[in-house]
Amino acid sequence: MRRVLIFVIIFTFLISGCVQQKEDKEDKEIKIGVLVPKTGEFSSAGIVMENAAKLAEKHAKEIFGVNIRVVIADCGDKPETAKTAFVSLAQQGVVAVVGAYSSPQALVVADTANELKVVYIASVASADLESKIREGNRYVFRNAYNTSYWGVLAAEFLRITNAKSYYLIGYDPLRTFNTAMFILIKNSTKAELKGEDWFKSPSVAPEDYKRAVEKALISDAEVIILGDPGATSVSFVREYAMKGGKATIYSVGGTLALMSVLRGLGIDNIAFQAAAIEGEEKTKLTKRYFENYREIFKEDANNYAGLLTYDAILIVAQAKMKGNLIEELEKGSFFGAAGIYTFENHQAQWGSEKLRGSIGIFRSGKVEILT
Amino acid sequence: MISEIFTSAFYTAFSISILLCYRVGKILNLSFASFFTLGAYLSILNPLLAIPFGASAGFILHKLTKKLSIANATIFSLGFAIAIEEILRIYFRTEYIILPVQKITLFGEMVVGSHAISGLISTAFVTIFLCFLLSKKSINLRVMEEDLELAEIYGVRTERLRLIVLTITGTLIAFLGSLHNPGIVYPTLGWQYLIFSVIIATLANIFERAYLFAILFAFVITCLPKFF
Repeated sequence: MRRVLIFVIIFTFLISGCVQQKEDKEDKEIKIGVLVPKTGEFSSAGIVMENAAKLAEKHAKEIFGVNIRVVIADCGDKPETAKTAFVSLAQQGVVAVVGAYSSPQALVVADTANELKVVYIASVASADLESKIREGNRYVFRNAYNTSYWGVLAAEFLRITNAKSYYLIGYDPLRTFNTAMFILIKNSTKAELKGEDWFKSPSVAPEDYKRAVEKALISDAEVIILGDPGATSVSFVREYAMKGGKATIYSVGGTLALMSVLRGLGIDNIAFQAAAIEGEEKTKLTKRYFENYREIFKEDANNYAGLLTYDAILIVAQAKMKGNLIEELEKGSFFGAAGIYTFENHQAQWGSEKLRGSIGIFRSGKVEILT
Repeated sequence: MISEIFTSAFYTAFSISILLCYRVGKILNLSFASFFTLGAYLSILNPLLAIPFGASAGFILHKLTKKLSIANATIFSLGFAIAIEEILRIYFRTEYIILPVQKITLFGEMVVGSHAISGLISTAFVTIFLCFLLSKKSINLRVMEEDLELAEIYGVRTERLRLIVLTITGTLIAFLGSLHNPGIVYPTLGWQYLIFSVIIATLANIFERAYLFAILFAFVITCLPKFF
């Protein structure tokens, strides 16, 4: 009986030792939540965000020696679904959450982050998160552009190309983002505004872009600024070229910033903005992001939503490695594929020397980098 | 205006297919979204491949849902759609595929060649269907629309009729997908066309002569954005 008792005690110790070891291992692993729009209006962007997140998980270990695990949750295309996904990630014990796509989603998630005391980094949306920070929300950061930077880049493009006139075309589901960007462009360029139009979501009117094309043709502007990062922008550009349109198209990026899409279209003078363009070497991560993405996922890497989600995960990994997450994010600087990030008032300093957006233009089968 | 006419013919055919499945096949066929996408992807190889694949998908859907109620069959069709979408996503991997587009000039207006063919096929389908509807041969279809049990009592081979409806409409939608796609293909492409057609079909279904109203609504809704 005594032997049995000794055996049970020893066995219990052994088991508890194993459990302790396992817990230690789990402690070293940093869990980072990623809100990805797998379903709904923005699901195409969701694919690249998810791929980029997986790549970040791999690179965090290989480059920074940090063992992270990304936990992906579908945030859909509505604020409510994003909130539910955020809560679910928080319950799984993630140290921070990155992602979500649209501005309304980011705003709701920012509030939830404050309530649950979980750090949230907006990696795509350009919503007015500044007001949340002013109200005392210390849990929200953004490594994506704010709305004014979108406008800054578009105005920069008009300046570089000496455009005399421009025409604005917004995308209705992204009205918050597009409106703020358009206001900044209007206020910072001397080029003549020839008009403004919006096309509807393809779910409401699949061929509405054709009407927008006709109006754009009448406007006779030198540059058309297109606010849709999705697939409808491709239909728009194709229809515009087919109807004989000659203006340079400046796109906010997304689909029209993908080399495979530009090559497939074969239409010259399509300009686009991106957080980084393949061929640039903003940091040691830039080349690696583009090359490894193509190797693993067999397609061109997305250079905004995907790239910034990748960067956001690596920022969390680097900050967590140094110590207290919020304090490190507020004062530190972090490597990403788009440049070196520092945060001021919780907003990444886009436009600074070490972190600048890029503008490229597709001509004669290749992309020329303008800035 | 030529482009609008072709587009409204396409939406008429799509919404009549939805109405037929709902009224005769007793299923709100949400799989059409993926049938359309499947056709669009197959057009990379050959648009005609959409015909056997669409027919097979319609046939399989019939076999798997024939014993289910409307609600369960509809939910199943959604799952079936997602399954096809995921298979396409896994097989083609890539986010977007750009397809070459041929332009043609019709009555002084430049249109996409495949869209013109899709418009003509849709017009042919709608014309044949309306002729069939006016003939005496459509009596079985009408009885089945009114009351499934009564149709069975009268000796209508309801299962066979349902099989024909689901297979033909499945073939049509997949083929239209191979022609009427916007030249950029991605796994969720078909949903926008489905949603728009469901709206037309729902409005038309309020009226007794639903199929005729589907033609009217498709034309009005397609042309509406031109005025706003």
